[in-house]
Amino acid sequence: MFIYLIIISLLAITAISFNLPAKRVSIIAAALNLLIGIQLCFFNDLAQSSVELMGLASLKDEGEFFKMGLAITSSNMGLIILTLLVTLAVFVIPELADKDAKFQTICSWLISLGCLLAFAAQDVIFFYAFHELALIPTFLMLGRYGKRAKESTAWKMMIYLAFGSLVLLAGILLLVIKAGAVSFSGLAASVAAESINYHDQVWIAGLLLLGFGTLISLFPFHSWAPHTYANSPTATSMLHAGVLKKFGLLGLWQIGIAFVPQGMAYWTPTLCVLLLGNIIFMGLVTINQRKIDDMLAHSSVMHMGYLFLALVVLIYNPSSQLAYQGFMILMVAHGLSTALLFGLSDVIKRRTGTFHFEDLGGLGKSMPKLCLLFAIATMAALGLPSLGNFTGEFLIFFSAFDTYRSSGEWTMLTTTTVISLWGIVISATYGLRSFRAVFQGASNTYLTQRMESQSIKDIKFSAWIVSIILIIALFILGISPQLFIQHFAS
Amino acid sequence: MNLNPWLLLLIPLLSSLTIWWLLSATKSAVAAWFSTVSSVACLLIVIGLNQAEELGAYAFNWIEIDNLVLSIGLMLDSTALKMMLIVTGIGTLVNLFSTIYMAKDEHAARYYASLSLFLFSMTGIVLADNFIMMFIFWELVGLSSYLLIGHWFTKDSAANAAKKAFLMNRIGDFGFLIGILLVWVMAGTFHFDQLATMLQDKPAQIASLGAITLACLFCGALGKSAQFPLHTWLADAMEGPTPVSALIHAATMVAAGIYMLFRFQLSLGHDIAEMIFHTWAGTMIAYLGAATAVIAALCALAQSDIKKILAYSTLSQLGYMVMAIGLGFKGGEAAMFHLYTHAWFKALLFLGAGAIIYRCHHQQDIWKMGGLAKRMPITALCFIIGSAALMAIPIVTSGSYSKEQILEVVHHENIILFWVAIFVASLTVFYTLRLVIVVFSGFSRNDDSSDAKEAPIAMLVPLIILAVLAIISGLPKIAKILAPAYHEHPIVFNFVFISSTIAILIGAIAAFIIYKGKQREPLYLPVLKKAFGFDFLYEVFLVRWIQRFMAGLCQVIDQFLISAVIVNGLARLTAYIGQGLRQMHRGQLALYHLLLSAGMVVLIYLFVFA
Repeated sequence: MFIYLIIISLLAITAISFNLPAKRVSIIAAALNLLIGIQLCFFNDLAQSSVELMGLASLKDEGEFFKMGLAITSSNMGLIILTLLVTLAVFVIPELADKDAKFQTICSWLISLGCLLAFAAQDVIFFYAFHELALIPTFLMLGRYGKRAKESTAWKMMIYLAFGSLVLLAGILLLVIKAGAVSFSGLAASVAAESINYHDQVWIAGLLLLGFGTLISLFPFHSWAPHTYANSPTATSMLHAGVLKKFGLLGLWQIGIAFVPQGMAYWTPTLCVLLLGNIIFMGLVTINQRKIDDMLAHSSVMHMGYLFLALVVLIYNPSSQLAYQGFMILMVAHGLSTALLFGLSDVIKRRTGTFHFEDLGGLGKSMPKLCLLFAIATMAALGLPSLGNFTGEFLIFFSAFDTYRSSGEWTMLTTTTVISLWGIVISATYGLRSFRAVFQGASNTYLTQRMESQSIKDIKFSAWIVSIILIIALFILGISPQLFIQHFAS
Repeated sequence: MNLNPWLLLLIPLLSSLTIWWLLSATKSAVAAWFSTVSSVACLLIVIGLNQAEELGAYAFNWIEIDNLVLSIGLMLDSTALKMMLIVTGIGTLVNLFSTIYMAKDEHAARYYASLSLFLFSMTGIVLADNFIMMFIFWELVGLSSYLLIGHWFTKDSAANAAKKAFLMNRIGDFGFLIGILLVWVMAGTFHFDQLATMLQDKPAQIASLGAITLACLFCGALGKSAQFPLHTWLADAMEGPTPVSALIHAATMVAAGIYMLFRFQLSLGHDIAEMIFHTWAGTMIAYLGAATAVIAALCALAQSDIKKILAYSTLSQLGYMVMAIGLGFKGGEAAMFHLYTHAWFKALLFLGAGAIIYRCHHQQDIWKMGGLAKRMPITALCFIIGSAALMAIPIVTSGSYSKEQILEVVHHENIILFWVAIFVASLTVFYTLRLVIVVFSGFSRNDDSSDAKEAPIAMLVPLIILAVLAIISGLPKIAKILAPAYHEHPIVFNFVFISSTIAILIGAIAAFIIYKGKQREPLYLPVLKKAFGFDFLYEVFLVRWIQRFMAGLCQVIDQFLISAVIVNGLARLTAYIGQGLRQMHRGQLALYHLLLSAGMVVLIYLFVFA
């Protein structure tokens, strides 16, 4: 069944390269994919579909250990649904000029396909390689259609991420060599036999953290991210910040914590400090931004801190279902809200011609629908209950305090959690401030002048519908997270 | 199993969604009546539930992980149900009042949708059976307050006030969330009805975590009930429509902090509550409450905006309640009683002010009003009854019964706070009489108020109902039926009673001497008028300087140190090294020859001599 998702994506790419109308084909294919994905993830027995390995390569006779393949499991199904949802949004919400549509949609499809394959990979090699596949079109999109300083930003991102990827590759290879397996099941069996000693674990974990950390924009390895997101074409920002970045988090969970737990434990104090760098330091930097795109780009870096906090709890207590569920829910919810915000900000830019807070104001009056969508997405991002991000964040904080309760000791984890809770104030500050600047208050001179020459139209109907789909998903995660939790349970 | 209680949540939620999606295009009157009818339905259900004998309500599992269940369930004890009487009762009256007040507003549908959303979330707080559910609705109440304060969002001041209210509450919620999680650490449950049993044999946990948990939980009340030092948002919140101020920022939402603390006390049970509240945390709560009461009362006496005077007086009364609840279980009961009487008379005062503002062409400055007793006699009478209750005129008003009870507790527990409370009682009379004298006596000082007429009937009905309640709700017989957690407490003519009466007299005499027949403000009190400059301190010092400085500093470090020096620096370094190495590959045979010979010399040395 999973193969259908790949086939449809490839068919869409082929059709577009033969000059069929890019946008229409993409929307149909993405919607179809989404329906299949929902059927696969929610109405199928996952245990059955996870047997569905494609078994593409068998390097040795050792079978299981070297089997490579794809499958939907409880730990990647959330991200797969996220990918499919955001892919649909990418083709509808940002408004493309026709002449660029062909190249851009193909690139978006490739990124989305790379994400799908990487998330579904059941061995470290595919996992690594498909992520790299998704980075290439990202680079092309940024280099060709970027907003400002496109070439230098593209190179900076590429070199930075190539560095991260190489470190990561070193870590993965070291793991493969020490454990003698590439498939997740093989690695698990090998690790269960305690084949990797503590010293090696520390090294592997360090390399993985540095590599994955760079890809997730862990402080202080984040400085590629804000520029990339702010300058990329909107579709790329949506896919990269919303979806592709989650690759690193998934990797730290299903490779790092699963196979080198003691090594990860060694790095916990460092990780605690660095994640506070994400939440507090980057949060303050976000407050200082004066443009919507810069604000969104930085806030996306900031929110990674909570996900790292979940990982730290999982390092302390790998069996904590609370942290695991919070981690999964927050990854999906963050992806949805970030992608939505990036998409909507594109509409603002196209209607008003600016991203600057001081030029905007009072848009709620002329664009009430967009205002409502943006408000909900902002409220989701700042963690309002009844939307998915709150559920995720709350479960993560709760799991940290639950660890405190069960151990009875106030640890570094508890201190980190208390400090990172201040993040809810920081994210509310920049979220409301940007909403206030863009949608509320009186319109200023720039906007009034512009409105004299042309009226500002509200969001298009198709974009409205797709945004509502994403918002419904956020509400489901917030109000009835149990629907997901029972599927995420491992 | 009884599903009726769930209607209390469902009706306002559905009403809010319906108005938002379906009625926004229609005339505002349709939305108004839709919203009013739904709140009446809620009121009727609450009355029914108050008479029902056996109540069971279903609980939904919000999250179920392993054996841990976080549920959304209803707690239908008499405290909650009677609190609901206040919420739905005033909610209904405010809806009715709004049908006139908001009739000309273009976006009235949005207003009624938010009002219904507020009723939904407030019901959630009151009926919550655990802390998680309370927190969820706590935040949603914040959202509806944000929407209503910012109803006229194209006005800069309204938009800023809405943002400020939300952020101040968020700061409080930071502590509140930690407090809730500490409750889990301490007791292993979030459920109110399990707290007492879970803590029964854990004196060590209570001793080590009780006080800090209470202090953190109190942070929530600090934000929501606008206590010092997070009090500054409430005065700005008056940017919202006046009926909203009556419902949310006077009677119900701001009282949620007191309700939450009392719910905590109640679920701990008498003994454990006394243990936890008689610590530094309880004392801190009491003193912060007293500080709020004094500061706000002082601010109130220098304001000229009628709504701001009432806002500061709300703050001051909330401070009274917080002070009482910090002193333990008895104080908690007294605070709840005061919450109940205060809700009626403060809603009355705000709605009365709304009627005056409505008839004075939206003029809010009391020094531009005057002589309104003659022009709007019924409104004036109702307003004066409300003022009397606020001043706590002994025996005849509801306010006196509850205030007396608080003073008794404070006198018993802490003599310093008692004198502070007496001082505040005197100030209260002073600023309330000032308001009444300036607005209602003499002649009108401005055109806005000279042609004021009596308020329309749909406004007068809520005023009269509330005025009756402002008088009788304190009487023991009535209070037994209506007041949450009421504990009968007869008025005794003792030291406390006499000193509070003397305080009232002093305040009254001073107000008459100073304000009778004055045309403009006789006192010059810039510090009080500016509310001790807290806004300046926060907005200029904390936000503009400290926060902006920190943010700017982080930005500089991020851009210059991390991004420019380290990241780009490493890139540069690599480039320089490459350039350096390139020097060796320039195609100069002489250089190659030199290097080759040098290499041979080294090799010969190594082979022959080493």
